[in-house]
Amino acid sequence: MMLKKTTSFFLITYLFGFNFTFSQVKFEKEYRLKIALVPEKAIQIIEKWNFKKKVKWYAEESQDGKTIEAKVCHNKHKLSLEFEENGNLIDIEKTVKFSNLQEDIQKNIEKTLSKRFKKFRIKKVQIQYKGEESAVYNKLFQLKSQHEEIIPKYEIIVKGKDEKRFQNFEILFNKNGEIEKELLIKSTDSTNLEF
Amino acid sequence: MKLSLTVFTTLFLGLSFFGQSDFNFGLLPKLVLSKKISDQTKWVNSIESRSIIYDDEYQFSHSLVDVSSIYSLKINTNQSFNFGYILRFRDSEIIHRTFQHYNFVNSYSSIKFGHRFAFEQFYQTDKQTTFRTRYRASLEKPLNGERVDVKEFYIKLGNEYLYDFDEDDLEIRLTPYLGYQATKKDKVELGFDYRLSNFINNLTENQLWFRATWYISI
Repeated sequence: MMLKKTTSFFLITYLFGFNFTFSQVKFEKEYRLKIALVPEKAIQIIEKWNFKKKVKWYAEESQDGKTIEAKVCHNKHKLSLEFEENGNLIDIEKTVKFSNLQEDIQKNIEKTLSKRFKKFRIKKVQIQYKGEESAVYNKLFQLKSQHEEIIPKYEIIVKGKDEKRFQNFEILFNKNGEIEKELLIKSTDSTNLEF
Repeated sequence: MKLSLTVFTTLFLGLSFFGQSDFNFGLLPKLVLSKKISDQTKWVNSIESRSIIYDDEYQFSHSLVDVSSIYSLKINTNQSFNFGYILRFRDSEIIHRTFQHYNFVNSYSSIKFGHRFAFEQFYQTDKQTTFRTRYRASLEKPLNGERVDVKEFYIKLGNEYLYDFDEDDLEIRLTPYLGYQATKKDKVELGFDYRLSNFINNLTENQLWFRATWYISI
């Protein structure tokens, strides 16, 4: 009788535990967006900024809601402009080489990473500009600005070794090279490329 | 005039190419079941059958069944070693095969590029063990956005080179597939598997298979 009780207790814990982990999984979907479905305000911003290269639009859906993303190449850098669903600009991310960052920032980030991981390799670096639209514009196009200075942050994809194994992380650093946010990137399933 | 001449020449050459060589067409349905054991290991089982529809003439005959079991060990974020065993049931005979794979997959913004290096050993009663080595490059590209999400289609292209040490033969495979990610746990791929072999020995064999693969993770 006792054994039966214990078994059912574990079974229930297991089942609830399973449900719990399952509910933690964030639903995310990303797809190309036709320009007709892009919020007017976002289009106006892009038109005003007058990029020379073609702009591609994407939508990203998650439990937190939906965001719109414009991707474009500008001065040999990949830019990603993220908008709210109503077309308000959230931020801009500019892909650069790690060696393009200021030397003191490079040093600080490397110092933080060597404390955080046994071994690491930087895979992708994006400078993030967040703020009022015209201030972001001035910052991006290196124009003199009347606005409050935008302090960039750095979103970096790192392949890092914790204890035993390597994993990929998306880490947001502030201007001092300190970690503000860390996200473990779940590796995608490649069964169909292996078997 | 010029155009029709080109079309005619291409058609004629194309036909004569198949005319002088052996050509087969058939079906290759496959089911792949994978079970995660730990964060670094998984167990992959598959069953594949082969039916011939055309071989010199139209027919429908069952050719063989392959049953495989593979232990997969992830050694890095994008690299793995696979160790496997295949049982091939052909008519009344059974061919045993062991193999070792080394895989690595590179992900770019919207493309996944996979490489597979393989070494295979074939064992058969009353026959000497034979060996084969192979390399495959595959590319996967979503048809919507930069990532394959649930209920989205993708294209998968593969190119493989197989070298049989025993027969001293090189085989080349081209595999264009259309894939569909049905749920988070399963995807289906439909497409062709074109195999060109024995061209080194001037006895070119062409095989065209229609493939349907169902990948399920449990």
